[in-house]
Amino acid sequence: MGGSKILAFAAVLTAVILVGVNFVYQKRPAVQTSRLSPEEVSGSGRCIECHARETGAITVQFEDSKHAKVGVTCLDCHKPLPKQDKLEHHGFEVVHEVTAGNCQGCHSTQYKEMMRSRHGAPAFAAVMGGEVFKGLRDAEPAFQFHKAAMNRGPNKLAILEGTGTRDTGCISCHSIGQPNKDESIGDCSACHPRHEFSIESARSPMTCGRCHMGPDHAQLEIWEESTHGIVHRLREDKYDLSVPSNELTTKQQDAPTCATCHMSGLNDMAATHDVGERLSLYLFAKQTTERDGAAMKRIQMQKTCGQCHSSTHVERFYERAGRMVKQTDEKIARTQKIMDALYADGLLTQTGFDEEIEFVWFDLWHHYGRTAKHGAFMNGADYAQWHGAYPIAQSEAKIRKMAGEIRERGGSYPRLEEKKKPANDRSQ
Amino acid sequence: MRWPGFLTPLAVAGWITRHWANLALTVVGLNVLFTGADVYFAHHLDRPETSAQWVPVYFSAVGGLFLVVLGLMKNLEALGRIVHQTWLWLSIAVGVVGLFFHLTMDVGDQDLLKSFVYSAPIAAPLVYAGVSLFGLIVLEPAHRFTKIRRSQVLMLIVSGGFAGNTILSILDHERDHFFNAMEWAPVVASLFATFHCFLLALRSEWSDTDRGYLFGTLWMQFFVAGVGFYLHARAGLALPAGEGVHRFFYNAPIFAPLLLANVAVYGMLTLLAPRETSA
Repeated sequence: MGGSKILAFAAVLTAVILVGVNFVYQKRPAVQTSRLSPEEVSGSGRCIECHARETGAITVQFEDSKHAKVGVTCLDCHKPLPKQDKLEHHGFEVVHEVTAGNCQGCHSTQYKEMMRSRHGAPAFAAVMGGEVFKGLRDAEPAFQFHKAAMNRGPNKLAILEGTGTRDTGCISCHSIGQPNKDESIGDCSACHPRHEFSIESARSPMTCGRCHMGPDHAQLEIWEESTHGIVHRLREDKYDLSVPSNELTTKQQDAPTCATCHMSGLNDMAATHDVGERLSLYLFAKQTTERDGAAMKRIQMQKTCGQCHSSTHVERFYERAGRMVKQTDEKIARTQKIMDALYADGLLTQTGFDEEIEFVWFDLWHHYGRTAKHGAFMNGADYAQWHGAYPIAQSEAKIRKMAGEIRERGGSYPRLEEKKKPANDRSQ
Repeated sequence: MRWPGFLTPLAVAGWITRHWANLALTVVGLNVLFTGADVYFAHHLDRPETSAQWVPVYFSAVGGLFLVVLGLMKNLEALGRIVHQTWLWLSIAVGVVGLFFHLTMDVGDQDLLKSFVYSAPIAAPLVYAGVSLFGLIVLEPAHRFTKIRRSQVLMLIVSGGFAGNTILSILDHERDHFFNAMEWAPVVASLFATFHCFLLALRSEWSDTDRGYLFGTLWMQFFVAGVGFYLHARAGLALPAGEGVHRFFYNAPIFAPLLLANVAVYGMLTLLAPRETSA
């Protein structure tokens, strides 16, 4: 065999092997063989080599993100800040749990607004108490603007339900305002899910509805029932929810989601990450109170309403909803008197959540009261009435009856722990 | 412009042929030294978990220097030959034990291909075995090769080196899904060189044409290695990974493409070996 024949033979063998390699390669799942995009490579560098396969979904999300398009890299967010837990990760020093502290390096305005809002420290304090925020510089706005919410102890119901429920239930939502090891506060990914962090997902009612749903604050369900929700669903394929907040107009979105009214810079409005900036009332409380600067906040929200509705309509809407709130508060106050009297007469313990009547009372104001008031202000007729006012009346009647029985028994109404014991248990 | 007489290709080839054994053994020694540096970085980056991971590093430092010094000895007398061979056998042992450790490393994955891609490079320790085997064959007296020429055996080893390179190129570039089409270049080049060397090793006589073509194939390896080195260096500078010198080790490994040139050097040495009569 001559030299040229050897060359030709080598070339043929090479081609055969390459065809074989290609054949085997094609048999593998597409997720393993698809080429990386330039965005993935430029955004993540070597990280993508493993993470494309090991945690494939996050690389796909990152590739679609604005972060990737503008050249933000994995390390830009995962670089540990002082006091964060550093993880040695194949030669890189990274932080596994990225916090609001990492985000604020680029998004400081949004972080500051968030620190003033109920989504900041007050959200976490609602479960764990405000003590954990003492001494944190970033918690100062919360102590200043939300005194009652911050100067409180751990939630009694959360204690009753146990740490398992607290950590898988309560904290899942209330961690939006968690204290972090780097002394920052909050978890931006609560509303901007990793790893796309898109403005679309933050504008989706489903994102807010992850926490703002259910019997205690049924905002998602109320929005779905409202004209806002119905029109939005009918026309959502026409909307461009990726428009930056300061460029969003009613032309791109003519029916709002939660973020549109509470946060977005719709038309000439200024965008904000303080979700309470346009809210004038604390509807969640037993008795509705005005927030600090309520007048200005009401004007802000009415101005938002005014982007689509006439001022006459807005004023009429506020008057009607206000009346509903007032009457609901009166019903709650009426029942509260019954409860206060039972406590004052020593017929109920001060423990909380150890007597059945306390649960009925809690449902009345915490579930039905809120639902009625939110239903009124969010145009949810069924929630204002059948899920709100009606069960309030029902619960009030029930409480009256139970209170009468407790008084008849002289306060001997069985408590939760007593009910659990067998009837013949006389050990104590 | 005219080359000085002692620098003409023929003169250089002649010098290499005259000092071939010493040169080949020195190259082996330098290779062991350089491999030690490479192993140091590879094991250092993973923060050595066992002291066994330091063995190849220390062995390369001491053994490599030793082999270089021996390679520079003018006369490879019997004693020198025995000492030399002992070191080379040790080197092979280090390679085989390393292969065992790399193969039994737990990467927590049941997918065999995935394990090969992400675990310690299985073929890497065999570099010790390959280059040392080359050295051992160089040290063998010519009269011991009766059925097959020494150059044929060496060419088989070179072919094995290129085969190893092919596997490394596929597995390493599979990590980034062959993001750049250029990543197929070393696969094709080393695969072709594998077959070319292997087919030539089967021939008892090599004509000048055979040698010429193989020179071409080997120069192609140098070219691909050079382009690969540039691309890997560029990736190290561009990608957002690591600080300082670490950029070149945590990103595309900067020295990896030079393995092609490394094996090609052994191919050149084999081609420039003193002509022997047909076995």
